[in-house]
This record gives sequence, structure tokens and C-alpha cells, in this order.
Amino acid sequence: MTVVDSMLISMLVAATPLIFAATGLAYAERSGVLNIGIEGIMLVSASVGFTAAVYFQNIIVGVIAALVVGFLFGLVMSIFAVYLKVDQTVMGIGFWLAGQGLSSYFWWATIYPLGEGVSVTPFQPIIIPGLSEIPIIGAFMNQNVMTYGAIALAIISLYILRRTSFGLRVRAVGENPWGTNLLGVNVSRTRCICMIISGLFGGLAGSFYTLGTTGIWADNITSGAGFIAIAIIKLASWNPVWSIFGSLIFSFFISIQFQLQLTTEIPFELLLTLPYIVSIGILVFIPKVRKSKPKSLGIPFEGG
Amino acid sequence: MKYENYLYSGLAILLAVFLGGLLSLMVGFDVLLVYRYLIQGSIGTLWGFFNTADRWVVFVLIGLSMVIPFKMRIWTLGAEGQIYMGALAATYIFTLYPSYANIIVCSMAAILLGGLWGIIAGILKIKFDADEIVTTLFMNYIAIFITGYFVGPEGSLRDTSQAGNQSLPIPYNLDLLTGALIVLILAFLLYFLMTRTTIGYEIRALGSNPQAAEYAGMKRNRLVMLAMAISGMIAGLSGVFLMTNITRILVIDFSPGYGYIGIGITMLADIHAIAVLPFAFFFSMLYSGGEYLNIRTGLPITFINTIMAMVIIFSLLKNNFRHAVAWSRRIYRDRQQVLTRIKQAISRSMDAIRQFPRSKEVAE
Repeated sequence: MTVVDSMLISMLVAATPLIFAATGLAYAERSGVLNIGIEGIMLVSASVGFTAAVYFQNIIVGVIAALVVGFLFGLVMSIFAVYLKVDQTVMGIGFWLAGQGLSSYFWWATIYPLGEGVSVTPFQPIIIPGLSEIPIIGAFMNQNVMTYGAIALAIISLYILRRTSFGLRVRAVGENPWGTNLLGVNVSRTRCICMIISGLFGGLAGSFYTLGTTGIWADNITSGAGFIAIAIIKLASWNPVWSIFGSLIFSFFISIQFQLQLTTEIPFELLLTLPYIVSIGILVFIPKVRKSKPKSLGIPFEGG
Repeated sequence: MKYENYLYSGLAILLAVFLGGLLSLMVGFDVLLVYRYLIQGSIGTLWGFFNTADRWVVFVLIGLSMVIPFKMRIWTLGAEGQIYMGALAATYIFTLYPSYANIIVCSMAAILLGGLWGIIAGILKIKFDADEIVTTLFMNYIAIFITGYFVGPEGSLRDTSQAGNQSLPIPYNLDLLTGALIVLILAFLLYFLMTRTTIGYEIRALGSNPQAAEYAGMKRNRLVMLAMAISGMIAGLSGVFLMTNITRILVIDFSPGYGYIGIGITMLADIHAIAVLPFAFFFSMLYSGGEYLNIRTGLPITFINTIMAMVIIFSLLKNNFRHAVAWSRRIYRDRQQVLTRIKQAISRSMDAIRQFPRSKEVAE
């Protein structure tokens, strides 16, 4: 296994939660609702999923618990954003902070009394025989089930958004909710469903941090990945499949930072800033006007 | 000026504190005891009261730093990073140039570096249209890691006599009265700026209707830069006060998310500079009471952070109160239908779960 291969493997691991989160955001933002609070969903589902996995000694139960948390958060957020029509940006900030507080509080209430060093065995990589020997492509055949799932779900989501009547409704609601309402589509319900779907994806993304890679919980474990996903989906022009490549760009800088920590003399605190500096740099290069930007993004639908 | 908005702010606080009580109840704490400790630790004792007042100075500054950007509907989260940069600048001056340093020089350095940190986010916003939430948040992380480098083993500000990564304790003390006076003057200055000057009028116009304001010839970019710079300066100053009054030293986690409290304060205060003063006092009570609570019962400070976040969420409802009323009225009117639908959904999913193993057996 060459350096390039091991680099690619760690890149894909770092990219998985970003792909999940960006795909979820694609649903929410295509339907015209900003979901800045996805970072909060990820944190709470990471924490709850970890606790469920520890108590039941089963990581599948952990993932299901994370999905339930994502569903509940998506439901509450959609009530606030769609039915109560609050400012979606500030609401997202509020839910992010609430998620940060709740996740750490939940950990304190459930896992902290058990003592130090509580961990679960994360998902193991499924090595596809034969194919994983090939250079470059082999890295894609050497991942755990969640990484395969992330890529598959991104492709399926693109199909749903592009080729099904539900996807057409989602995109129409994001572009022109008033016209769509006149055609008999329930705007609020469509947006609500999209928020719940993005909550479920946020749950998957969060559970990957505790159950997919490390098997432990740390405070603020996602460290801004939800916000990186917001940048990615903008970079990928709201297309889930492009977001796979966008996530790989970001994860390259996350994983090269670990390589540099081992090989160079640069203090590690300054290397830790690298992904954030790169993210800001990439945001700068996104053109100002995007043709594919949903026209009604962030605007509550009044009337109907 | 709508005074009933502050009534809703009070309701939001009550709702959040009530839900926080439920959270502690779930873990098995006595809710009334939690509230009693919160009040005892914040205003019940003399020590607690001075702790609260010290925090109040810092929190008012953090709240004021967000008034102008929020009025323009720029949702900056950068206060956290600007606090770190301000404290870092002050520490740098008094550690490396002790002969020139006093509290005024240190504060100036903090204001400059905090302002610079705000201006960077402003440039990213106006030149490249980068989402200010994402950029300011990432700049917070960058600021925290830079602080970590300077107080870390290879940094120049580390106190080598201590085992942990921390700076020398700050040798200046800010009199509480002086601090309160500075804060009050600043609040009135901001109020004056927002209500009685052309700049304030333009800021308010850009916030309420950006297209019309720009059509009327207002220079949006210049005002965005001004707002971000002032916001950064005030937040940088609060970093120095946080050090002199509360933490005394610079460490990597010296602000447990205080920068984000400003969002709650400003939203509750309906983005009004004078109204920041009482709501900042509420939050300083919450946090100094939370510290006491932590000592007495072990409830972590994240518990208080959760209450703070819920305050932000509920404070949003005050502008949308009629939606909330209409929505709950509709739910109440259709309660039978809603209940039957929920029951249907539950029974349907229960059926699906019950049939799941059977269908598997059939398949086998």
C-alpha cells in the first residue's frame, strides 16, 4: 500500500460525515429552508448514538438512536422554520448552540458516571477482495459500511431530486413557493419533509464520528464539520454527487494536516487551523452569483 | 419602540429556564434546589453578587458588539474569536513589553487586534460575498488555535513556572465602577449612534430594506466594514475585561463560549443598545449562578449553555408571535384530526414492526 493509497483511505473517512451532511443540506436548501443548525443535530446524534451503542453494546442500535434524534430535531426545526416562520439563520445558530450544550450535557448525564475510557468498537472496514488490491481505486474498496452508504445515498439523492415527482416538488417549492402553491402542492408539508430528511442525514453524519471512526466521545467532536458542509453544498451548487468531490477536497486538507504533524516541525496548533483557512479560501472562490441557487432560499412562505 | 417585545423576551427567558429545570429533573436533580442555587450563587451572597457584576461588564460589551451588525442583518458569530484575539494582544504586550504596558495600552492593543479580526470577516463579506456565519465561525477556530500556540509549549507567552499551558496572570485590575462607567457610556454612545445620526439611520435602513437603501445611494460596503470593525473592537475590549475581572490568565479554553452569549443578549434586547444592559445582567446571573451550581451539585456549565441556546430559539418567537398563536390555535381546532392521524401513524408503524420478523421468516 503506497502513501497515496493510505492518504486516500483517510480522506474518504474524513469525507464521509461531510457527504452525509451535505446531502441532507441539499434537500433542505433545495426546498428553500436554511439548515444552519445541522452541526447541532450532528453533535446531539453523535452523543446519543454513542450512549445507545454503549448501553446496548450494539453499534446498529446506536445508529438507529442517532436517526431518531435527527428525526426529532428535524421535526422541531421544521415547526420553527416552516410553520412559525422565524428567522432561519438565527434559528439555526440557536439550534447549533443548543446541540452543543445538549450533547455535552447528555454525555455528562449518561457516560461520565461510568468512568474514563468508555468506548465502543466502531464499524470495521469491509475489504472487497481483489478490487482493494488495485492502486487508487482500491482505496474506495477498503471502507466501512457507512462510507459506502454515504456515497450510495448521495447518488440516490441526486436521482430523487432530479428524476422523481417528489424531487420536482422539492425544487419547485425552493424556487417559487407561491406558484407551486397555486398548482396544489402543499408547500409547508414539502419543506417539513425536507427538513426531516436533512435531520436524518445529520443524524447519520453525527453517528459516524462516534460509531464510524473513533468509537469514543469528545466534547465538540464535529469541530465545525456542519459548517464546512454548508460551504461544500454551496460549492457543489446544491448537487449531492458534486458534494462527494467537494467533501474530498476539504477532507484532503483535514487528513494532510495529520501527515504534516508527523513529518514536519510546524507546531500542531497552527496546522490545526489549516482546514479552516482552506475552507475560508474556498468560500472566497465560489462565484458571487450562482445560477443554481434556489431562489427562495431562507425566505419563509407566507400565505397559502 | 415596542415595549411589549420585552414582555415576550421575559416569556422566552421563563420558558427556557423552565425547560432547563426539566432537563435537570431528568437527571434526577431537585428542580427547586437547582433554582435556589442559581439565585443564591448569583445575587444571594456578596461574593456571588460581585462575581455577577464583574461578568455583567464583560457580557454587556459582548452584547453591544453585536448590536450594529445584527441591525444590518449580518449574523456575525465572530465575537468568540475576537475575545481571544483581544486577550492575546493584551497578554502579548504585558508579557513581552512590560516597561510600556499598562491597562490602557493593553486595551488599545486588544481593540486594534479585535477590530482587525472583524475587518477580515468584513472584507470577505463585501469583496467575495462569503457567508459571514461560516467565515466568522472558522475565524473563531483559527483564533483559538493561534491562542493555543502562543500559550503552548513552543509559544512565547507561556508561563514556564506552571505545569499547564497558560500565560502569566494579568497584573492589572479593573475597578468595577470604572468598568460599569465605561460600559454605560459605550451603551449610550451606541444608542446615540443608532438613533440620532445619519450613519445609524443608514444602518437601520440597510437592515430593513437593503434594495431600497442602496437605491437611495447608501454605501452598503462601507457600512458593512464599519459595522464589522466596531463589532470587533468592542469584542476585543471585552476580552481584556474578561481576563482582568474573571479568569486572570490566558488559557486555550478561557472563554467557554461567551462570545455566543452575545447573540442571546442582543436577540432578547430586540437589537437595542440600552436594552442590552438588563438582559446582560440576566445572563451574568445565569453564568455566575451556574458556577456556584457546578460547585455545589456538579451540574456542568453546558447545562447553562443549553438554557442560553434555548433562550435564543424562544426569543425569535416574539416577532412571530402571531404565527405561533395562529398555529397553536389551528392545532387546537383540529385536535381530533391531529390525534387520530398520530394514532394512525403509530399503529401503522407498529404493524410494520410486528410484521417485520414474519415477513423475514416467509422469505427464508
